Amino acid sequence: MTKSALKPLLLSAAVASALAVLAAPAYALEAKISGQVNRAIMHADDGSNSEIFHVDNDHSSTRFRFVGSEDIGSGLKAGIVWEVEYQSNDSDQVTLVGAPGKSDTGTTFGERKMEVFFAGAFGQVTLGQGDGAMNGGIEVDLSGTQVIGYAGIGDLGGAIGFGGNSALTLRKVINQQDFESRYDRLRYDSPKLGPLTISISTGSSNSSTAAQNGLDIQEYGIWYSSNLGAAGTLAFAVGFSTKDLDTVTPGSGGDQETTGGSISWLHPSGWNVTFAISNVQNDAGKDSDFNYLKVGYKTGKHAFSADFGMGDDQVAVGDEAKHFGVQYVFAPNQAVDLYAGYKTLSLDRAGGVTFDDINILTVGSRIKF
Amino acid sequence: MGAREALMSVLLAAALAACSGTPFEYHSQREIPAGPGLLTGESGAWVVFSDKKVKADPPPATAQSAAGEAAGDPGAELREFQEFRDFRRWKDTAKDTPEFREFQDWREWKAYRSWKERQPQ
Repeated sequence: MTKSALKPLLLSAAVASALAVLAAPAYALEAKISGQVNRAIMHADDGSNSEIFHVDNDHSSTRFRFVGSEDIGSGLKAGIVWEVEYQSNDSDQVTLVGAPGKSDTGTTFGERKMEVFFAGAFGQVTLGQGDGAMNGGIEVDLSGTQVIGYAGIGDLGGAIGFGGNSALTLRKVINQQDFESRYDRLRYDSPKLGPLTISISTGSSNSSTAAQNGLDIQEYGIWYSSNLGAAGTLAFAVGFSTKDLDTVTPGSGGDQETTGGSISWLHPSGWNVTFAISNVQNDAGKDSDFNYLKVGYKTGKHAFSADFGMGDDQVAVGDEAKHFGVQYVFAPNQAVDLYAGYKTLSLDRAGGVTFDDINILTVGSRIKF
Repeated sequence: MGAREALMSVLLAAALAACSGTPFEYHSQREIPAGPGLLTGESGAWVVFSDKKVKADPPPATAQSAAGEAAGDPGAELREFQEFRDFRRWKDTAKDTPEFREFQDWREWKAYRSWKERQPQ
C-alpha cells in the first residue's frame, strides 16, 4: 500500500474509532433548574445626600441556572451550564445624584454562564461564556459572610461617587481587580492533584465599552483547598492574567497584567482570617494595587466579621481609598441567609484633596429556591 | 522583593506546609448555595429530566439475567457484567456529587437495618 493511500485510511480508521466511542450507549442523563433571590434595603450617605434603596444585592445576585449532564461512556461526562442573573435595581448601579428622590436603575437581565463542558480522568475542558481560570481568585473566603461583605467592596454602592463625582465611584477607586471575570473562553482545569487544581483559560473579553470589548485574554492559576484536621480548613488561589489592549485598537497600549491571590483559613474554633492582594500593571496607563484583610468568627448558624480594604492609584496616581466594614449573617438552614452589614469608605487624593466619607448600611436576605 | 514575588512565596510556602491535608471542595458563598432549596427540597433543584432512576432500576434486566443464568444462559452473565462496568464508570464520574453521597448514605442505612434486625427484641 502506498503512503498516499495509507494516510487517508489511517484517518478514516481514527474517525471511525472516535465515532464508535461517541456512539456508545448514553448513561445517566440529568437536567436540573435551580436559583436564588437576593433582596436588600440599603441606606447610603455620601455626606451631602442620602437615600434608602431597595436593591438586588450584587454580592450574590438574583439568578437561575439550568444544568444538564450525561455520562457518555469511556469515563467521560458531557454537560451544559446556562446561568442568567435577573436584577431589579442592581446594588452596584444605584446612585445618589440625578433625579431627586430615588435612583432606579431598572431591571437588568444579564448573561453569566453559557457553556459546554467535557470531564473525565484528564480533568475538565469548558467552552463558552463563563468564569475565567482565575475568576474569584482574589475572593477566596471561608468566613461565611461573603453574602454581605467580601473583597468585592464595590458590589454594594459601587456607583456612588465621592463628592457626587461619577469619575470617583467606589467601584473605580477601590476595586478588588479580580482578574478578568467572565468572558467567552476555552478553559482547562486539571484533575485534582491532592488539594491542588491548575486552571488555564484563553478567550475574548465581553464589555459594554468598545475599547474593552473583544480583547485577547489568557489566565493561569492554582486553586487549593484542604481540610487540615485539627488545624482547620485552608483555601487559597494565586494566579496571573494578561489582556492585550492592542487587540481591538492596535497601538493603544500593550498589555494589562494582573497578579494576585487570596487565602482564607478557618480554625475549628470558628475564628477565621482572610487576606487578598492584587496588582495591575497597565502598559497603556498606570499601575494599581488592592489589599484586603478580614477577621471573622463562626458559631453555629451565626457568622460575624470585620474587614479592611485599601485601593491605591486606581483612578489617579496618589489616590488612596480605604474601606472598613462589619458584617453579620444568620443562616437558619442551607437555603436561607439573613444578613446585615455596615461599611464606611474614604478617599484621599494627591495634593491633600479629601472628601466626605461614604457610609452604607445594608439589611437583607438571600433564599435559594 | 515586589508584592508579586512576596505573594507567590507566601502561598507556595502555605501549599507545601499544608500538603498533608485532605482535599475538600471549596464553594464560594457568592454562588448559588449547595444543598437543599426552600422550594426544591433536598435535591436543591427541580429535575427537568432524569433517566438515572431508569438506569438505577435494573430489576427487570437483573431478574432476567439471574433467571437466564439459572437457566444456563451465558448471555445473562455477560449482561450482568456490563451492568457492573456501568456502575464502576458511574462511580468514577460521580464522586463528590450529591447522588454519590446519597448512595453512600443508602449503603450505611442498609448496614444499620441489618444490624437492627439482628438485635434481640
